Amino acid sequence: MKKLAIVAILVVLGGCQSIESVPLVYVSSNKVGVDVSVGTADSPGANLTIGANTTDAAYVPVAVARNCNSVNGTTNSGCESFGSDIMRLYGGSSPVTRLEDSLAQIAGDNGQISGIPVEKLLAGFSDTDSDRSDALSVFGSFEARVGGNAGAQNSAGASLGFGKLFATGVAAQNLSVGVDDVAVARAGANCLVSMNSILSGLPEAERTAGVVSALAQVCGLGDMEQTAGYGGETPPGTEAQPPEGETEQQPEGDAGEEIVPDPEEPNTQV
Amino acid sequence: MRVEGAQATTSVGFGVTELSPQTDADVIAYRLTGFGLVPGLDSTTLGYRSEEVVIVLDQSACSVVIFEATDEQIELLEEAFGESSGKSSICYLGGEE
Repeated sequence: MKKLAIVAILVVLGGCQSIESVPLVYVSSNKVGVDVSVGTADSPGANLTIGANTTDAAYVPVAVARNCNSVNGTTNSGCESFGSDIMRLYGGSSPVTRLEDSLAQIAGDNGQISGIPVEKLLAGFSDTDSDRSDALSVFGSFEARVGGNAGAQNSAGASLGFGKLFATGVAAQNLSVGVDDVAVARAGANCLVSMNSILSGLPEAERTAGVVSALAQVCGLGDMEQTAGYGGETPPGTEAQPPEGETEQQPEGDAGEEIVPDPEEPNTQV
Repeated sequence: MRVEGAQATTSVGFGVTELSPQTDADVIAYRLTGFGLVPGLDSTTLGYRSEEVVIVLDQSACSVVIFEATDEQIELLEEAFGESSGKSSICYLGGEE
């Protein structure tokens, strides 16, 4: 019994040892039965789980405890009293940020170099996507489907399944933006396919410019009567009048000739 | 037990198995499935346990980790990354790329 207690104490003390290189850990696990685990920093104590337990997690370090004197043999103030030096992880700074810091140091308190304000010197520089730095962002997908909408009032939707994955740092940022773009693009494409299907199912006489325009607006393509030159119904008093001395030109192009609006056929609202 | 890597090996046996990973590796990944008394990353299970773990020591080695994905999902992922796909190191746990 005494030996067991000593082993338990050693295990607990081992958990308190500072680790200089903290890894990034991704875990996906399924457990059924009885599961026993020792405590962690966020939930101290032992855990006993009976039944089923599913875990999908990414453990991202936000700070590293380094041993004192580990950096060039120098000791930071207060390090010895804590026993270790805590270093936060931010990711590398961008070139523009580093330039800004360097110029600020050179300029000193007055914020000028040779009479020119630092802000003016930095005016021609800007951060681009490739300059972004990030150590903490996490993008996780757990068999979920990510949705996006396109069109007027987000009427057309599409959902995407990425499986089970994790991304961190700048890759997480890029992926979150990319997922949105892809979802919207696919939703728009789906809407156009549906629009074509609806038009194909209509009798030719009912394929009016008003119907096409209404469907286009649903897909977020704007008012095709105006953009493509369709001669749909125009509210009274809003007709465009040609300047004096000029004759009104008919719109050119195949699109305006193929679909002829029927003035007696009311526009169909979709 | 099957160990993937530069020299893939497979071993079958009874009792407690021990695996010592390469200490200077940038990434350590493992997948385990077991019945009975099964130790894992942070706990021990009496029953059934399946676990997939990726430990990234060099964060530039794997900025994206994919546990399960079909070809269609991988294609979708590359589309979502767009121009930045070449800048991100993507690791597939299934060993297929």
